[in-house]
Amino acid sequence: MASLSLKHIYKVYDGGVKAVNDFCMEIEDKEFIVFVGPSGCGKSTTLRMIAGLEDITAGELRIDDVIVNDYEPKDRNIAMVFQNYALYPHMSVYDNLAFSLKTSKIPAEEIHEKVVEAARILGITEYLDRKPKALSGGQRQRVALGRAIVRNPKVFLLDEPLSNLDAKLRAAMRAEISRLHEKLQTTFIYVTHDQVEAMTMGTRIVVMKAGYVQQIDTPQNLYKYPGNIFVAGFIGTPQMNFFDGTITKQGNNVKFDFECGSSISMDYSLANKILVKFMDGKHPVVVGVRPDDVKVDDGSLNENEWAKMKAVVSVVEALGGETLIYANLNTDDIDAAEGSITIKVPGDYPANRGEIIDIAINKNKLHVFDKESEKSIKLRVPEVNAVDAVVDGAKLSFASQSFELPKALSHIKGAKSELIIPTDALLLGDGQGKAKVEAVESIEGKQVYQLKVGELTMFAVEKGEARFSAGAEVAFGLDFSRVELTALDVKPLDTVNTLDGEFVKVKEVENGKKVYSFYMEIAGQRIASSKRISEKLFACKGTKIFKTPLEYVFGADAVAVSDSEINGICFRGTVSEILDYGEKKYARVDLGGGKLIIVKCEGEISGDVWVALNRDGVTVKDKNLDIIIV
Amino acid sequence: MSKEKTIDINGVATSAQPLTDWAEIDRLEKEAVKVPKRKKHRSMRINRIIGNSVGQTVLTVLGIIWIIPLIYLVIQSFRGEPGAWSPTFFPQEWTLDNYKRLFNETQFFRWYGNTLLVSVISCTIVTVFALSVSYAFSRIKFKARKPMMNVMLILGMFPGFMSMSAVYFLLKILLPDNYQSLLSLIIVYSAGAALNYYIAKGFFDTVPKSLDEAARIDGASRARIFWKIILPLSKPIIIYTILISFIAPWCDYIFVSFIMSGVPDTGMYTVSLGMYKWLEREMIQQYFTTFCAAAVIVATPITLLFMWLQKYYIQGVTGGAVKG
Repeated sequence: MASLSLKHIYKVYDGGVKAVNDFCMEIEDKEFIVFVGPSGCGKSTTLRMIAGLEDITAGELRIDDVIVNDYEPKDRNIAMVFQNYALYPHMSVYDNLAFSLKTSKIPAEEIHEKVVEAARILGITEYLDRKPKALSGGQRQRVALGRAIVRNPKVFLLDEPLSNLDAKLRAAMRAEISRLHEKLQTTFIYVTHDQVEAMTMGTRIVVMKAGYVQQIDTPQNLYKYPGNIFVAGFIGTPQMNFFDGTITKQGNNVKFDFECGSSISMDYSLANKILVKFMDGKHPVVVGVRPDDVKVDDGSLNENEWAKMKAVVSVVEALGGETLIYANLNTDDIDAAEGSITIKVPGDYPANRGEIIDIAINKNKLHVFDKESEKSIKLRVPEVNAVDAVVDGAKLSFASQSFELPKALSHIKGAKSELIIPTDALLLGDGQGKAKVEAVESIEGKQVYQLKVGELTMFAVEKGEARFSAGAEVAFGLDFSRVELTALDVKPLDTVNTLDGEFVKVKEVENGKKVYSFYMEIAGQRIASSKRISEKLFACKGTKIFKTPLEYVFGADAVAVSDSEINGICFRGTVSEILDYGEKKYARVDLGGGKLIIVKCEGEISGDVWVALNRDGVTVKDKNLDIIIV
Repeated sequence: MSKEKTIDINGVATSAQPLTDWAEIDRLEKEAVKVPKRKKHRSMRINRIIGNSVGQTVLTVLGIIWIIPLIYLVIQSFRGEPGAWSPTFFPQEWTLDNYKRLFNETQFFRWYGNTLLVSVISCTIVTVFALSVSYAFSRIKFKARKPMMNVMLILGMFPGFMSMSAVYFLLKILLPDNYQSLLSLIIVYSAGAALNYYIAKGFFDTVPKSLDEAARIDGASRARIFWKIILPLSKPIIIYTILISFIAPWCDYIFVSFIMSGVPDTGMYTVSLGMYKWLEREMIQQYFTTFCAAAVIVATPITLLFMWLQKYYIQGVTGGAVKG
């Protein structure tokens, strides 16, 4: 029974090959987590790092709030089940189960009790005297599970435990392991390449590819809201249908044009969560439709919800309970790669190759991805609002709302522009704007407000509990440091400082004794390192750290202007610019040599200043390997 | 009835017209049968028989050639007539006197005990060391691993006797008072133990690493994994290592003769050294048949050991060789 925390975990092999990249995850007690992905995606490596069988190159692994990076496997209180069972072949089943208990010198009576209990749970009591060789695959797997159970571990790690079993047994063991999880009430981490196992067993699934985490979510959410094309294609059988195309928004109508010639039109209200910048008819997008969301049209379906089109049947697979129809939207070329679509219909559906059928696609269930980045652009929690705005004098207006521009933006001249407001930079409750809440949705601890602002629909996102209910009239303001005016070259303020530097060792004499002090050398200035930073840097790189080019990253709120020098943790610089956004105020400070940092500030400052760095807010990256060390 | 029918050897007409003349068909069929068949390949069975008999014959001849000296040695050990040479293969007079003489007149059993002592002790040391080193090379990844393995492999390629004079002086430094002793021999035979890592490492490489990992998770230390998990699974390679490391000192002559040269006390000798003295010009006439008897006694235990353990020996060598 334990929670796990993985922060920026990396595995880099000697040749510089990165097996696992920046793996971050919080695992709650009693969760059943499944790592899934094609072979070589780093899922087993991650599991082995949790087990302690592989070193963690960089990052922090906690089990129950204790950092266990340097713990031996036996001290982590975990148990692992291996793909090839790894039973000790020369020992009987009983001895296999008892081995770990004997190692930790537990009294023989207690061992016997535990072994018999584990054997009873798994139904292997009658095989206790046999050698593993005399057992079938499923029985061996149960012994391997039993060996894990007797240790009563905090975390169960299972590395593709079912892949050596035949299909029928696998399904049975799948249910068995789920039941075991129920019974033991322990945290399980399960690695598999089989998406069916992942979908049926996991409370949450981590989809991985090429060392990167693609998405972490519940099975239902992965299926309904895949974050990118890979996840969309990997989860769900038969695979999702993909069509290349473009999206055009004209007034209140949105039109999807597919390269195969077909198109779908719909009301903007059905597409308002798609990022606006992709609706220009130019950005190449990929539209995904699950085979379950396509129907054979018998004329009874509603046009508003269903997009009707024609398809030519290529192959029909009758599976008994349901039928898969492989068809093509391009009715002229039955075997064209572009436009091929799989349709899942319940029961029998007699159709011949070449026959043209009417089909209908559920407009609500379209998945839309950017073709270039492959990421979903139809977000569950919308990220930005895009509206047409006018700047006139010191005022910004859109949708019959008018806002006074802060000093930092007072230089811009009157003009029309597209205004992009991140959904969490639209601040509800106070401000010059007025809106009506149309709907409130709670998603993953965030409140998504759908607002009517003048004629426009906009979104605001807040963390925490819902503060307003549907129908309420609310005032709202804007965080001007984060808005973008595309035509006027106003970009959101980058409040993250990224500076190159090194880590240095200095020999100092203190009370006649030689001591070494460690400093972060950032933009030519030395800041005393903290214990946390030094320890992590040494743990990852050893003494090579002094020769490694580093990158120090810290936010504007991790630095503060100070009256005097404090304990060697201050930069010396000159204020070069003040950015006044009304409620928030930032200053750019020149550290010399044109190296600027951005600092959050209050009150009036100018001239030469000290800037104190909060070292807990610093991230250190290895520039050569491109990994986050601290 | 057309005469331009074309018919293949199976008697099936390929012409467009139907065949109705059954007599004609029969005739054609007979002809088809008469058509000389293409010479077939010799059957696999015959090939195998021929191959086997050739092989067996060659091996039998080689076996006979190989075993004649052994039989000769055994027979000579029972010869009653004295002298190094006898005109007949089989002795005229059979006797056990040669064996009795070994007991009564020579120090042979003293030497035999010396050899056994040296062999058993060095065999124990070598086996433990060689297996431990092999396991370490197979499982533990450390920086000098590859370079060390290469250096040791190359060192092992030089014949041991190249180092003889160096070993002699090293022993003189190590045991200044006692360098011509059985202890020296034990040191010499066991010092190079780690060089024999190669085959055992190959064997350990075939033992799945997940066993080690499972045991590590079960809380076992490296030593416990080695003794409780890996060694019980490695009987063939243990036996192979024991045999190899026992035979080397048991049969060695070169190092003994070099280290013990000039030792006046013949009671310090090992069998190979002592028996070789019997073959010197002035002794051979008197001692040849005794030598043969001694040789039989020396060869017997090791032959029995081999016959008993040969199953494991082969498993050990080939098991290690798969991934070597």
